[in-house]
Amino acid sequence: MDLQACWKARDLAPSVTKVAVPLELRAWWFLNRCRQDPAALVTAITFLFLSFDYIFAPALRNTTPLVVSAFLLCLLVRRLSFDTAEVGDTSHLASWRLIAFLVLHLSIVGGAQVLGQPTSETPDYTSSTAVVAAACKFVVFLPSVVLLSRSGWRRFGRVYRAECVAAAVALVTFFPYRAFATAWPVYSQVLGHFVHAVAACFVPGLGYRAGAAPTLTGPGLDVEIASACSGLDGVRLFELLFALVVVLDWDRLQRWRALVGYVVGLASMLFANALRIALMVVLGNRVSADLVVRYHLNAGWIFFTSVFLLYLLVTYRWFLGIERRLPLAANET
Amino acid sequence: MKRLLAAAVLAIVLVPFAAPVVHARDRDDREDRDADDGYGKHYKKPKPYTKATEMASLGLASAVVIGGAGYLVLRRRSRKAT
Repeated sequence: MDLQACWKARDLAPSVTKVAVPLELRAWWFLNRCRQDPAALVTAITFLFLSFDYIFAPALRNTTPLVVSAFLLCLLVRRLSFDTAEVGDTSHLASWRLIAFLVLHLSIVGGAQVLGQPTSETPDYTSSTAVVAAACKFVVFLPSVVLLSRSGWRRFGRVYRAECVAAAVALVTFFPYRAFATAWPVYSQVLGHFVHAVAACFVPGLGYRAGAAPTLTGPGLDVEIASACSGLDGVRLFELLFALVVVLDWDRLQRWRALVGYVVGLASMLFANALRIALMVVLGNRVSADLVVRYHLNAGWIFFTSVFLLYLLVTYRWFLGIERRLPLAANET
Repeated sequence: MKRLLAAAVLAIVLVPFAAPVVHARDRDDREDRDADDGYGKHYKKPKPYTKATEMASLGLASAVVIGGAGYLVLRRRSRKAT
């Protein structure tokens, strides 16, 4: 049985009598599709060259573009693994485009090496130089534009719209270190007051000392809320695990629900972080200060993992829309 | 015109997004260079690899593994159920 016939039979057949496609045939078909599809090929080339850029020009190093291109590649590969629609044509990927892409990358790497590693003893970073260097971190995406024609990019956006939206969301939200660093002076005060309000219910005489790092002064333990306690680690853990969920369940997820769940999940992790600090203050003052001081780092990871699993337990079926499908299936039978 | 506008918006969004990191790195470099720790004023100290950094990496890796395993169990159960 040839491959097309296998797929047709599999699609037409009722789920009970699914036709098994031989594994080696499926693997060949899948690899061929990835190779033939211009979107997957362009994303793979971009990811590869971003890695090279970061090796040869450390000044360009930024985790977000690399992670986002890897995430987009995973989503495209995942899509190609279950979507049996016709793939595009890689004939658009002419050799002159590849050469132009290479030249542009070399220019960016060269520019970053000159701007990013000053040889003078006193650093001469004016604000404009800093802005150019900062822009260079995202300019690494620009050479990819020449890889496809205008119609090729239109097809990319049209066919893989959901994947592009997911990658864009990841681009602006993945590991928001900068946003946290900028917001910390204000956020630390909000966090400090919230933790104080919660913990004061259980710890009589708990004081609050304002500052860049607010301190909660208790009878048994003073807790300073440093920027490392901002909840960024919890957010990062959530983003990594949520990315895993999205990639593996891309064929089953209801995408709008996933987007809503992502935003809600980020907010939940920040809220959980505030509760974590409050819990530490309470335990440190009511149970054992030594225990909290010694194990608070490890306990934090256990706490964040538990929160994520609880979140997933509550929301996972909703993401997949299972609660709607099951009654239908029951009626059909 | 639309594309120009889109490019301008993108630049406005992206550049400030990345700028604090560059400034922070510059500041760190300056502090490192200015520090006189007996090896001369321009001696560039290596970045400290503290125990806290190591523990944070290990903690994150463990949390990802445990969380991922939990998710895979949930996924398997959901697939069986449907």
